[in-house]
Amino acid sequence: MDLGKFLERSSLKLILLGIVVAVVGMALSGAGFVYSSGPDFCGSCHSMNHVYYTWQASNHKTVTCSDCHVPHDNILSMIYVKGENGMRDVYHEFLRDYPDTLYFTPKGKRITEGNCLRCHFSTVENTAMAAGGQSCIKCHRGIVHGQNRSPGGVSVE
Amino acid sequence: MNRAQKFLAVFLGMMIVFFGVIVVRVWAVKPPSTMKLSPLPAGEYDPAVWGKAYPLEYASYQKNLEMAASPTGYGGSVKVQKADMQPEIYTNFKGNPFSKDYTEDRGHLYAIEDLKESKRIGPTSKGACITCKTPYVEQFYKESGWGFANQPLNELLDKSKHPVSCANCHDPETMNLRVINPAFIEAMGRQGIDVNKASREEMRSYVCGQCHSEYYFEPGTSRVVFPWDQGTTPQQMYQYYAAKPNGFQQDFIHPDSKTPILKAQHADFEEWQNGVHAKFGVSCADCHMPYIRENGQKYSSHWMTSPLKNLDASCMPCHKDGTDQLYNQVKATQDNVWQLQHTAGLNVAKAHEIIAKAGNIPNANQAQLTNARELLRQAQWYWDYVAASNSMGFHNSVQELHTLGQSIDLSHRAIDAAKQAVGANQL
Repeated sequence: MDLGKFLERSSLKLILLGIVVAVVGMALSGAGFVYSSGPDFCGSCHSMNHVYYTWQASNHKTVTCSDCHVPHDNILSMIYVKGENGMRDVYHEFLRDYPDTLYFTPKGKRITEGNCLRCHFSTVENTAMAAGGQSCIKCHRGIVHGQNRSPGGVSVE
Repeated sequence: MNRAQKFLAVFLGMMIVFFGVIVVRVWAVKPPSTMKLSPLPAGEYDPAVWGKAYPLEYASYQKNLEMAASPTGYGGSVKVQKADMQPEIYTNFKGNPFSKDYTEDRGHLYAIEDLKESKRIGPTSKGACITCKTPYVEQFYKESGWGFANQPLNELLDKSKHPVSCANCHDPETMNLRVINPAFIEAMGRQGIDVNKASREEMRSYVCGQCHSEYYFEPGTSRVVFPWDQGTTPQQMYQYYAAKPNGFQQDFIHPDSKTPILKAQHADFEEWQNGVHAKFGVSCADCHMPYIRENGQKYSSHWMTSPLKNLDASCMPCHKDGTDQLYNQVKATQDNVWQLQHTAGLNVAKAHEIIAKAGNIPNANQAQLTNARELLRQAQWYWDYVAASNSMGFHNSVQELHTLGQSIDLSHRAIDAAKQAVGANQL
């Protein structure tokens, strides 16, 4: 049976199948997108142990990783940055060459400080800081991934 | 299968393999987060044997073989005479072996070699010197208590096959941290601290403090004693020495100024204890043995060296404002302390010269000369407390600058007293 005849005979089935695949696919992608933005997924990487534990003990434990570390101004830049971050993380996690201490890149810092204001803008909107140009983290450092809160050390078993 | 199907099958297969390997490597087979214990028999002192069980730690320990200047230029692990940089050492330690040989010490692995090569020791040297050079001190103390301190050093050197190594700080059976220097255990005990009940975080400083501390040899027995009974600031330790503890009066009498001098020894643990890092619970090991990674496996670096050689692992977990800024801050602190330390040392040297001259003048007022010598003794102790330490003031810059300021003032007062002793125009 050639392809043309097959398509002709089962077009309705194929359309239905397509719809089912599309719906299931979208549901799975959406769920995956949400799941992969959360601490359980991010914290499953070895390099993220420290930031996971510090976040868990912080007063920002009700917000997720991507609430702060992915831009929320539009969906396209959100997906782009998330994909870029994810690929970079997997790459270094695969090579196991991540550094002893994790730092912000200038871009990462910009994104996160934008997200500080998403929630906290009302705090600063009537102050001189509303003019912009300041760094939140310069003073409010260690708010989430603060110091000495992680289970430290190397245990011997 | 036609070509398209074959292509699709191969493509799918490759994708499954590719993502499969990533998933396995990243999520399924994670680097271990704990160390596997392999108990060693008590009395195993050979670091190479320990190294077979703990290869990562051993490899980093071997880095202590490196001989290099410290990043800021103060200290380091190259054999140079300290007097090259501060010639006042010749004057201030005249009559004491430190004026003949004051070599910068190298890493832990060279502890015995450096001791053997030092011109400060000779055939009459006492076994007490071995206390901080080898894990064999555990065995010596078990066999004869402090009796080993009066045995000839050469005999004990022959029995000590390994320098400062794993067993100095670790229990071979459990890998727990431990201290084996009896002088440290006794001194802590006199302050009411039982080191056997110390927390792991406290032990991460105690293991270093058991040797990086000020001490003296008890006259007669040569037992090593830490002068901490009244506290660990330079002032408190000077007070302790003023009472002539255990009959100990001085390390040597300066041949020119006739001043009884105390020789300070690397009071690093004491400096740190009174400093800001200790007050905030940061241990020696947090900075000098930071957590590092090899293939994702986290472990403690056993390369005990300047934290400035690995700022990223040592300082950055707390100070996140960039390595350059932090390095410059440390460098500036050390530059300031060095300038004042050098000034203090030169003033001490000048006081020795002037008191020596005054002592040679007949009819000098002896009471005032004694007073001048007491002021100089104190001035030299304060200078030496900082000069003999390893951090060039970093461990506690506020205290060290204050101590050096006091030293400079005391030297001036010693000089004034000597001048008064002989009449103003004689010197």
